[in-house]
Amino acid sequence: MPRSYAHYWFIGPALILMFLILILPIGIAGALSFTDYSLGNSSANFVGVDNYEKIFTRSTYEKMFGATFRYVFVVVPMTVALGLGAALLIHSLTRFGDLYKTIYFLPVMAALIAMAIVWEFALHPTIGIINSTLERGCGTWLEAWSWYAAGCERTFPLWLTDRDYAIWTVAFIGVWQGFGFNMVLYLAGLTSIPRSLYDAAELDGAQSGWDRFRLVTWPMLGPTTVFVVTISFIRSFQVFDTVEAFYPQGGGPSKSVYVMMFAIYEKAIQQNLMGIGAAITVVFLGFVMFLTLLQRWLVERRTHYV
Amino acid sequence: MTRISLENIAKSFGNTRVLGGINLAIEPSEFVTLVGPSGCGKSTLLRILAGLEAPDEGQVLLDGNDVTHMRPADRNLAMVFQSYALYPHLTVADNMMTPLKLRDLNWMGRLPILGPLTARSKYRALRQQVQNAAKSLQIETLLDRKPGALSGGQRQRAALGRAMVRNPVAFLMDEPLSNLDAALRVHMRAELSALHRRLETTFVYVTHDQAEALTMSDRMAVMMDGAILQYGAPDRIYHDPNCLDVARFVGSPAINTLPGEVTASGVFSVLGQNIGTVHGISAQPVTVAVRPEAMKIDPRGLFPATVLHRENLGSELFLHLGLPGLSHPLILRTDPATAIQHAIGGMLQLSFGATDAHLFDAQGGRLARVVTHHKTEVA
Repeated sequence: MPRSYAHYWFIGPALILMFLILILPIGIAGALSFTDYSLGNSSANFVGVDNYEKIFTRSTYEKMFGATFRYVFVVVPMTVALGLGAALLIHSLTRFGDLYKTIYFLPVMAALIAMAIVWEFALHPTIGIINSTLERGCGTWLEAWSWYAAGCERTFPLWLTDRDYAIWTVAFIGVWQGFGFNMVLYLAGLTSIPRSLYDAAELDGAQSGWDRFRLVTWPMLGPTTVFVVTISFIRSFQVFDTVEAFYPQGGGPSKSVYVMMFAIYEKAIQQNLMGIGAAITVVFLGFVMFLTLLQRWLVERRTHYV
Repeated sequence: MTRISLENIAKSFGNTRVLGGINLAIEPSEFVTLVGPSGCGKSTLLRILAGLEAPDEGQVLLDGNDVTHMRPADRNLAMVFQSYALYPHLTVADNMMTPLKLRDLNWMGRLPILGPLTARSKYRALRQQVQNAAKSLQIETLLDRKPGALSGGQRQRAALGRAMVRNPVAFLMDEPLSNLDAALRVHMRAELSALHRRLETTFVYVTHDQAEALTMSDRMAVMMDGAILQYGAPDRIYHDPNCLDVARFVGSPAINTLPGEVTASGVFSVLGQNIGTVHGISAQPVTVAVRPEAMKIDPRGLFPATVLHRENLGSELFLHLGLPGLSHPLILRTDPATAIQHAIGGMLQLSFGATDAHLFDAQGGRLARVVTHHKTEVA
């Protein structure tokens, strides 16, 4: 019987594509991260781990990690919690569920760069709707709150340009933009919970909504939660467009919003320092890889199927 | 020992009326089966009894107390679901413990780690209850496993265990055997009957399988289109169905039906052959129903028939017979030894005793029994 080579033809195209558009670029980025290559240069010098040393010692990159982790650790818990909350509320509705779904999902669909411009207007210190609304509350019981009183006395914060507030404001916009996505994932998870489990819980004496949530909903959403958390982590590590829209130069007040993606863009594209840009990319890849492996491990260990 | 009665229960989903004024009384420690084709409302009736659905009209009474508006857990009924509905993230022991925890412990005792520490003696008592239930179902070795690691039959037992553990006043079972394979289903039938005898508790069992209803119940209620057509002992329902739908639904293979007629003088005939005499029935066309085992191969039989098909089950054999002037085949039950001479395509003479024939009117309502055999009269 003649040997068949059909199997190479079956897997070949996928393998070649994967190699060309995924593995090769990652390999090149890995290689470039050990050089001082710039676009247009005919050659580059090998600099060893210099680029990595810079990332883990210089204060700019310390700020980069600070901004990234602040953003991530605000946005992930908030989008997951709000996504779950919104999903539970919408799931309990018998009417208008689709309307609310659409409303909460709108920010996900909207181009963030356009939304960023709207937010910029809203957060503008003098003409913005947010601070002018806050000023209306002056002289009322709200002033019992010392932060509010201080705002009335001088001015309310310059949300986007005060380095104490900038990263949290950007994170808030990230939450606003992102939780609708998680809500949709949780809604899908909720519809797949068998009704009979709630019936069983009811007969077993789970009388309150909290009992039912503890006994059925939350455990049954386990696989969804693992996925939602992982995807939220990856999405918030990737934040770029808000930062680029608000602070095209330099990553915000005192580099307090200098997130990783923006750093890669600034170093590699704006300043044409390919080596350092590649090194940040590799570190970024490491984070995402770690999270993905963690997810796999959690899924295999903890989740259960009916 | 609780007497369950459902009074005048009606339920509609949207414009569809699924239950129209059901009355059902269940004696203490009785095994009652609600049986009917899918969509007849039997599961809805069970869910109303459990408290998972509220009836539009009518009352659910437990020992004379109106529980129609009581929460399911307060009725102390236990339910076994078709899909078992075990909590997949909990071990069998924890599954069985759940109803006890929710009933016997306050919120502090139910806390994950602190609970077992603070309410230690209570927990010990609950675990003992779980052990006892597991022992009587022979699932002690499975207690530490999760439902995902159990076979269908084992899950079934675990679900029974969860129902048993709190000594409910009645067990409600919604097609609990339909997810099992055929051999296991027959085995579990016997086991459920044994469990019922041992526990001496009321069982209300819903199934679409008339064989389960016939084999297990003390009484069965045949339901169709949201109404109970007949309620009584299985034997009685099999031998004395009160309408054509019940006669057709109960029994496998299904009862044979033949077109017949009753004349003004009370003579009743099938396919032009006089069979017997009936009293008190006006002249009308009737449907005659005869069980397969009441059909006889008889050289002097009145009906010539062709053998269309043979179904040999080893211990018994069903002959599918074609009769001239009849569009559907009749089924005759016999034993393989007798049937050996009747090959497919062969002819035989068929008869049935007049007293084995059930007569139904054009609306499917039961008419009086045939009393006299015509042939003996002539002879």
